[in-house]
Amino acid sequence: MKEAITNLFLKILGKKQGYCCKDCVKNLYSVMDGEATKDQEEYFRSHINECSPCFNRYEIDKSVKEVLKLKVEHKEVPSNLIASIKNKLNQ
Amino acid sequence: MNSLKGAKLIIILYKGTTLENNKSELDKATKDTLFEKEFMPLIGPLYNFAYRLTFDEDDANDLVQETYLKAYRFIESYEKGTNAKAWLFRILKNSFINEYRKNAKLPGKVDYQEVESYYNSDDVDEPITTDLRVDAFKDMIGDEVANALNALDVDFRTIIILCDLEGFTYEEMAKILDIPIGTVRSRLHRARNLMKDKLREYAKNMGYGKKE
Repeated sequence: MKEAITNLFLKILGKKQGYCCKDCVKNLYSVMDGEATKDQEEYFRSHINECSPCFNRYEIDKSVKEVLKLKVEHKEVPSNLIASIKNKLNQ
Repeated sequence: MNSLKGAKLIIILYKGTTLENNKSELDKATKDTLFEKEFMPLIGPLYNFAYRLTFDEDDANDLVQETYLKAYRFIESYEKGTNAKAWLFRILKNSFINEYRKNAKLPGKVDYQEVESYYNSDDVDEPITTDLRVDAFKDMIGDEVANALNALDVDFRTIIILCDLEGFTYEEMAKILDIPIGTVRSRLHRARNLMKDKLREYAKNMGYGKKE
């Protein structure tokens, strides 16, 4: 079991196989972050249908982004902070 | 000597008042409403940003408090209807740099010039990983992704927080951080690669370090 999990992780994150061009990586982030123009996005979407390194790279980066949003703990604002700010402002 | 200091102080105070009088177009009630309606609702994201910068509840408290006091003081320079969140994040980030970073036990500044020129050069090929199972990935390493974020140098951590947790656009991040958009891109790129390096380390350690 331990080995299987490790292998999975190494597969997901570790193996350095296959290369694509620098522009693809730049486009990949633009698309992922909602910064791409319509043309860039269309081009990238059709590109990843044919290019498996870029497809995989996109899926991994996108899931890291999603996991961050989901899993990073949200700290509660201390209850006295708002009052203390207002207090200071009224001084 | 003392009187000289006193005189200087008076001049400074005087300048302060005239400046304020000239700029002050909003009355107190308007300021208070603006503050209450547009700024106070953002305290959650601001507190979380402060906490992820300092890793200390008291420091985060101080930083948020200082941010709001500055925001109130400079409320005239805030244009209504513009992005209050980006404006407040910028104040908080600048306060952090001024007040905390210089004293800090925090990691030193990274030489971006070097990093960024490396990443902007044409001969960098990206290693591409293969064979993906996104679902398994999400379930298994949620905590490790958060840990990897916390382990990043503060500038890399900041860009990931702004982009991935808070959803700022590249343009907003450029304004918050006072850097060109090209630098936003390359710093984000570098930060994400570092995150994945850390996750890769975790994967390796897991093979040896974890009990069944």
